[in-house]
Amino acid sequence: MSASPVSPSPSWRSLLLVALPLALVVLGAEIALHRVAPMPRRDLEVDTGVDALEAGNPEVLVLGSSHAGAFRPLADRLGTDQVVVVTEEGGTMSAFDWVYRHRLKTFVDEKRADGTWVRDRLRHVLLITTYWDTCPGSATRWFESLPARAWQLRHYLADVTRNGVTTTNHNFPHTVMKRLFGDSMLIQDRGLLNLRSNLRGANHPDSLEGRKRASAQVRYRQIAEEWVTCHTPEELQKFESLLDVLLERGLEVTVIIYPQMAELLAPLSHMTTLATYSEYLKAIRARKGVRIVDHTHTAPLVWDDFEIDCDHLTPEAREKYVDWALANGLDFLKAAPTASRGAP
Amino acid sequence: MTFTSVEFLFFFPVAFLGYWLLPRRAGWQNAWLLLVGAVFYGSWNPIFLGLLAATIVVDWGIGLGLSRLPSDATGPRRRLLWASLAWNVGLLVYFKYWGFFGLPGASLLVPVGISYFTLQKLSYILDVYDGRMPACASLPRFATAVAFFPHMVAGPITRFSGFLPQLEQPRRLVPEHLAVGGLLFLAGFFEKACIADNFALTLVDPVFSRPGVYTAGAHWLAALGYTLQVFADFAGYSLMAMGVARGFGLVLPLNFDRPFLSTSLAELWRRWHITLNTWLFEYIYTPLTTGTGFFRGRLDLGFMVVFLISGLWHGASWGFVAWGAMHGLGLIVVRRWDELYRGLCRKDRKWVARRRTRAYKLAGWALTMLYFVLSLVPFRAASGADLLAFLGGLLPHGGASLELGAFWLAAVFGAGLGFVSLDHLLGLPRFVPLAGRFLALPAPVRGAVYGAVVVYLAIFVPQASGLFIYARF
Repeated sequence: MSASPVSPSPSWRSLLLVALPLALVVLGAEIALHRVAPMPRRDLEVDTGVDALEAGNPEVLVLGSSHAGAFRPLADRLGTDQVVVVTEEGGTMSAFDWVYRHRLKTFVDEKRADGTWVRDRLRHVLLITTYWDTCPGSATRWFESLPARAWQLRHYLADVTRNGVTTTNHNFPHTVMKRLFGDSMLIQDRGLLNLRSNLRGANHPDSLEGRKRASAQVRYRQIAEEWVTCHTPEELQKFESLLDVLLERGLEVTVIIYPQMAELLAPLSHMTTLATYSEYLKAIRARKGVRIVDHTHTAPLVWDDFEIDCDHLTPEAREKYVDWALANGLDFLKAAPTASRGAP
Repeated sequence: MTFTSVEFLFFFPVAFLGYWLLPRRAGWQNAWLLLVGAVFYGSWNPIFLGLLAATIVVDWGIGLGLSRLPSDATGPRRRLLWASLAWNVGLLVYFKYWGFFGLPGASLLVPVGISYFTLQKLSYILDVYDGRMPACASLPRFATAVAFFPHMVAGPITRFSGFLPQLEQPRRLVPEHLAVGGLLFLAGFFEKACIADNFALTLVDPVFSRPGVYTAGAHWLAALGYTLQVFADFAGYSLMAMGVARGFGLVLPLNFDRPFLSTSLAELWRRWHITLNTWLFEYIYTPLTTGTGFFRGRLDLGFMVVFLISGLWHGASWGFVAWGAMHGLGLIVVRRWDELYRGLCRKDRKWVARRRTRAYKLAGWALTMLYFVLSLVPFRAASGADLLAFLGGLLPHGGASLELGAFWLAAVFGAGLGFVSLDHLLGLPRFVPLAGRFLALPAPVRGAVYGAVVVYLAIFVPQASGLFIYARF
């Protein structure tokens, strides 16, 4: 390409005449894409939950990875002012610990001038976990996004000043960007994977159903074999440290083991990955006195209840799951709201 | 931070608006460029900001020292020159080659862009020493020239004799800068993010990471794909750098001039990475072969030396050395062939006409491209064993086929190849009017075309656009 590939001496007017149709074409493409395909599942961000906690005084705080999003209907059942859900996409134990200490603890521990808790109704913390949350970042391939997704600008700037732009802190501007263009198919569905899948017949490997089947095969193997080596001491240590800080605050902690799609659970996985995690939590219950609710394979969820990734629940399935959970292990949440409690 | 990263989307508007909102004085504008240059450089690795500052101060001081010495003070001037050479080359050797030569205490990190800003500063010192340009009296201006972020990380290697004068004058925002800059950036972005990154992901990396496993066709496709990838990656970067610089009212030199039109290796090296090759030939080849030393008149040896240095400049590995040796040898063969052919022409004028035939040019083009494509195999291969396996894979044999898919072939490979071909065709005399005709279209039509390109990019640019290949050198 030559160094000066435009007509000589363009005017501001001609620039505007180029820029306007350019913007119109992009806008037109957006509208057209919205008409032929649904938006992909939107990532839930920590900030949404943090803002809700800052503004409210809930009784229940739900914390976890994107799995915690399944508990959003809990607010409809218990009251919108009763429940705050904080989700960190792709989070592992160390990320939950980071989010609690750096983003939530300030509000949880906030006191009035007279020394009483500002959020004095807060009583329950539900930690939504799976064995996956104890994997080292390198195994889950999510490590590079954490905890940058939960950062605020000050965290980002401090990290960049120290380390330059890295694959970890890169996720902060990336998340900001995705949030800024939350309604843009061109930004949210890069490669138009969703669109292409949506247009395929159900039997095509690239169709939504085909991708779901492929995803199930991969996860089936991962649960039984690949992730058996999870259970990283560093992640477990962060988990226990998080439990300690919650218990110190006088909160009732319930660890919920997130349900798995039945089709993914080979007999081998019950003996390996899942067994290791389950045994560990039993030991934690004995040691720390926290409540453990295991929904791994007891929840009445079927193939169609899961999203294409065979991991997250569809909006309808979330309702179904929460209703079931409130009668199976979380019935204590249905007790009358607690009165305000003072400082310890 | 690279030009295709999301960070740059946030960085550039701040840098751009800050620059044009400042009072229109060269000093203010340079100070702002220096500040954003430091932020840009620091985004790679802040610990090297101090090193960059030190190299700037030392070379500025040496340049000033040279200018203050009378021209007949040969001894002191030469000592200053050698001091600068030792300082710059020493840093380059320490950071890039210490480990390669097996010396203890090698740095684990290489300051990004050191290969580029070292050559820029060296050309400045050599030009001042030879009296080709005056020394820069202003440290901030000199620092701005070195740390101008569009060219700092991966070139174009800018000669300060042309760049410093641009920084002396206040810049004015004119529509032409925005139009040219925007178009250059868009074209460069397309080449880098769409062609280079897509080719790397689907065509090149799978075969180069498992050489010998795929069919011979897949190996040839990967070798061709890598050639296009390197071109699109670096030419794309250079266009983006030029485009960004235009946004600040500054002009950087052209780095690629449709190299795939070359009908000889000599022509190829006048069209490919122009600023590096100009540098190497002006500051190494010419002084070497026209000086009074051993190399005087030994043109073939000069070629070999220059390209071995070029190979090593790309990185401390035997693959780059082999690549350099291949091109040194290639240029020697081309020069010898030219001499032989000139002899034939002198004997019989029919040979002159033969050289102008389409068949001769086509043969020259095919040989040049084949040689260039093959030379990039050692450039890319991860090890000597991989290189041999890949070269073996180019010979007919069975193996796994590369599953590309019709959609990918049409949407990405077709569009990428089409873009590079069109860009090159527009350099041929018979197609030049086409570009003029497009530019003569009504502005809204051109805007709609650019809009379609933006939509295409949004769809087909890989999620994680990769690091520029040449930023690693």
